[in-house]
Amino acid sequence: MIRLAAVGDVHCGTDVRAQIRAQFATVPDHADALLLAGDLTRLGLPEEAEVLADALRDLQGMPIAGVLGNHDYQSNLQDEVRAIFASAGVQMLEGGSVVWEIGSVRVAVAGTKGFGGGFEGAHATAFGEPEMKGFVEHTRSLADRLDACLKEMDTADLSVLLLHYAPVRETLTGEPREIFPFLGSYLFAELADRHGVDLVLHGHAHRGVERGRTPGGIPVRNVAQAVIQQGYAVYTLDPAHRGSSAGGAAAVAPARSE
Amino acid sequence: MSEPRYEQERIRQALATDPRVGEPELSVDVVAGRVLVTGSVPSEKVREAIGTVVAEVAPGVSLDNRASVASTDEPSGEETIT
Repeated sequence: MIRLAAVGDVHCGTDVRAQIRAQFATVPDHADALLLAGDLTRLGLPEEAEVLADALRDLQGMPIAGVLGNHDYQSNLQDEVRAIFASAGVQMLEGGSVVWEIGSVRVAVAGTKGFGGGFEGAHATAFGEPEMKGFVEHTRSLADRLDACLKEMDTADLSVLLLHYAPVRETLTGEPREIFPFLGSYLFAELADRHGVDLVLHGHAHRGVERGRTPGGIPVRNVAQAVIQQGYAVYTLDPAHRGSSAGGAAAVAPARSE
Repeated sequence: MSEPRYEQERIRQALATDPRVGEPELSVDVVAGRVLVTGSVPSEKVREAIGTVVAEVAPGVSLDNRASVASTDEPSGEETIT
């Protein structure tokens, strides 16, 4: 049994240093690892990232993985922001994965920011203007990279897919339907089902709901802070119960670090 | 106020892109002639900046700022994933 803390859409600014430190200080009391589902900063500024990174440095020895979100790209300084979190010990994932030994359990986390396009039956197509093709191809390229990563993860006892954008419609309930194509893409749910991960986490949808499932039955949790209305959510997973929700989680793939 | 729907969207765009707020996830509606802003913001400073930005983009409008600061409380429980 392992306990995972997870939160997204922290939108950390330079005006919340004490609040951020208090928010994360209790994570070791509740969880074995921490997963950050993007939009870690408000404007994608290095000085904002430093505030959160300092709070995470206090969690010495705790396994932490994260992905960036759209807010973290706002100032075109995403590489610098990513490096700041990495320097604080966060495994930053963009089509990569990490494997942790937590007690006797091997836990694999694969992650990517994800992107938009929409959902099965109404996904955007790479047709027409170059801008439209570029939009769809960005999502597909991220999914393809993640697919390759998931194929290599086969020795873990548990596996988690960490995203910023949503993989299913269900957790968007409450958001205007007009913006669904900008909130996520079914391509990542399809990957979760194909590779039989145990849990999918995402953020981005502030007006959505926490709980959903992929079409194949894998649990999806929207951990946007505005949705969970607490510093982080805590999920427990037991390798002995693998596949009970998704009709047989397949062999999970071996992990590779970026 | 000019055509309310255009004004509404102009305010929404400003709240998304003005760095004092920078929150594209906020909702903006016009209700009975008042601009209603709802959603979650990360701090009281950002919440207050909503009023500043709206006053600059749409001078003279009546603002009902119901944006709230997201809770960062310690979790009260956990969920077992099955």
